[in-house]
Amino acid sequence: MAVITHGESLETAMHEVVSSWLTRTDPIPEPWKQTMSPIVAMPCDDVLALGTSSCRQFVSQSRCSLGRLQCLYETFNGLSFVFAEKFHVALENAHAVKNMCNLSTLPNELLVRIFEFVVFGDRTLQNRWRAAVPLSHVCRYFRDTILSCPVLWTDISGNAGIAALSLLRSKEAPLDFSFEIDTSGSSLDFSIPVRDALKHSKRWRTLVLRVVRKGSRYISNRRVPGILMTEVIRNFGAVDAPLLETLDILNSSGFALYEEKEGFSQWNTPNLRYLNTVCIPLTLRGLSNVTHLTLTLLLDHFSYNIFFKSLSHLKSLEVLVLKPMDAWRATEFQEFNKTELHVRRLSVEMHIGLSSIEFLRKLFASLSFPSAKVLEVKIEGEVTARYPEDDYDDGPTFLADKEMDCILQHGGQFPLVERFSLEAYGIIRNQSDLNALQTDDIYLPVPIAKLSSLKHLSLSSNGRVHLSIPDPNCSWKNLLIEVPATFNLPMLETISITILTFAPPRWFASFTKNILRQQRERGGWGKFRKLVVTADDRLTKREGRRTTATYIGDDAWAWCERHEKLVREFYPGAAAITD
Amino acid sequence: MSTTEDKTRKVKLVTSDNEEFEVDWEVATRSVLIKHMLEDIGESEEQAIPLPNVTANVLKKVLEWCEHHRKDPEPAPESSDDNRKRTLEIGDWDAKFIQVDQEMLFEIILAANYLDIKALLDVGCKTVANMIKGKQPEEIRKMFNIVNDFTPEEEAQIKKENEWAEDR
Repeated sequence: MAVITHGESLETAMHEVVSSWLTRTDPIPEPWKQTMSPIVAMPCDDVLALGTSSCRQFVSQSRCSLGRLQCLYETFNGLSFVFAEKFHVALENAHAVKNMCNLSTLPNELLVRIFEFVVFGDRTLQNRWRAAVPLSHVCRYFRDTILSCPVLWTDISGNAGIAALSLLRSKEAPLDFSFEIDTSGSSLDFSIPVRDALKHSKRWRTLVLRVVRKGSRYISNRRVPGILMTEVIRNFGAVDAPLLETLDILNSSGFALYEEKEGFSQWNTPNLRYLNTVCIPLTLRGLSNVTHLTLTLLLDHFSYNIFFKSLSHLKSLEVLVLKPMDAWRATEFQEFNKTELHVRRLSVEMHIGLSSIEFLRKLFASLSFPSAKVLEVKIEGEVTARYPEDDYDDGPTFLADKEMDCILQHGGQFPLVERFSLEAYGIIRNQSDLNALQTDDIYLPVPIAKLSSLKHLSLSSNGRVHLSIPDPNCSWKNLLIEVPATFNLPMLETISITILTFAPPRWFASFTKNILRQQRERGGWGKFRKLVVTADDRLTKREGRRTTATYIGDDAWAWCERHEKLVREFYPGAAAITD
Repeated sequence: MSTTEDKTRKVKLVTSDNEEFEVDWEVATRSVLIKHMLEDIGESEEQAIPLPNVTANVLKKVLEWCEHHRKDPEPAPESSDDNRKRTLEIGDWDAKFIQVDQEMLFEIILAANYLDIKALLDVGCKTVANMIKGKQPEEIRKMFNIVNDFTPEEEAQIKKENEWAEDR
């Protein structure tokens, strides 16, 4: 037994301490107090008068006190540490036991619902089976539950092994197939055996054909510099896919992808609705049923011709998403016949500074959209940071006037558009891009004067965006910061603003106030219903948030006034922007 | 379709622990179960609706959600195709609302399921899904205090599946 002092055992001492603490909330037992009281300081004369024996007694008393307290301190400290550890383990266990009990009370159909959210809801996953497989490896109950849900295994992608597993588990559910087709070798290499896929073609709901080049050498063993879509399709032979709704033909091989005669003529896809492609399959019989077309349009003569040829086939088209891209080969300009496209919604997504911008101008000059109610434009580009010593004469790096002028050329192009959404984003790849977004500007014309039926305007940016209205009466590009009352702008009902990352709210506020002032001066204030402001800084701040606030009538005006007064570059944070 | 009279009407609900709640008709009928029960009993305002599967503290929380969402449009009927539209995103208010201890979270899920309040059920299920998402099987086992109960044959199959999943 450990001894503290003068034959006193540690056990006895601890017992006395605990009793004292429990009865009086005082850790020092009463009998100890006399010997444990600190020896008070005294005048020097008194010290000298004490004598040797009294001094020795004091020293002995303080040593005894020190020894006892040190021993108790170390023991209780050790105990406390052990109990803290035990406490944390017990806490974790209690948490897990609660979860265990909660799991046992959860009916199976609710566990399935949770699994559906895990598998379908996580948009960061490349393949849905990446969520389904780990769930099936937890325990028998989880495995039996997830295996009894065919819909959770309908993503048929990856390699042959995982595709076969998913196919087996998907039972009779409609399938989302995704092939990767490697062009590195002398023949095309499919990630999933085509013959396995064809056995299930009646269940295809989505089909993605992604043409890639896995090999590092740019020039492969291919005899031709392009890939014929027919070559890809030949591997499938006749396809009967009555349920197929979505077909994606994507190409990141570096080769041009084009279709030869009769490429898709053996395909039966009567239910096709969504087509996302770099190369319109003109011989596809389901083309007349396509309602949504997303087209990565190479700005060259060849792709233009295919696009215009396809328009006569696309009889049901409602939504057109155009993604113009520079073509690798030079081409001559060509005039196209004036064409009316009766889509409900047009979206244009493009990168700033395309070298073939004149080609795009020709395209939009020949197209009109008399039935379109919605126009969406998304422009992305580099925002290069500038330093004081930089020469500003070169102009800003992100000036979207040519792009906007190209898409919206005159007032007759979109006579019925009621909703116009304009997004301008600086590309963020690394920290230096983020820094650039804080120091350099994005210049974005908002040509609403060319949209006479406009009611709802949405603006979104992640940078210091300078918004202005181009003057349609001016042959040169006069960008109006202050809008005169005589200017014929459409009367807006709603304005929605989305402020991402560091976009200072001041610019949005100032622009919105200008429009509202003009509308007020022209007697249209009663028509304006609301301003919706969304701020989202989750990308740049760990504790970032996405918040939305709606301001009705005069509150909208007040929001603009409040934020217009902020310092130019000041970003107050998402919560402060939406008050 | 609700009438103006309905909107001013009050509904009495009685929980399993015999606590009575009086709420607006518009709030109570966020629950499809209660709505159908009210349709069954007709105009009898005095008759309380018994909810034997819900305790007072859980119903209080559920009614808080119903009150906030009283003006929301009726949810669309479910179809199997909706799966691909599922997201894990939860609105600001709902995210704050569901910040409860786990016992209460599961109680809310069960109550929402029983009362047939699809949107609230989704908020609860999404919250649990967010807790599970991205976790390895061992982490999920630890989270639910369950053990790996696979037979050696099943383990061998799982190993094979892992190899396929990791092979790019």
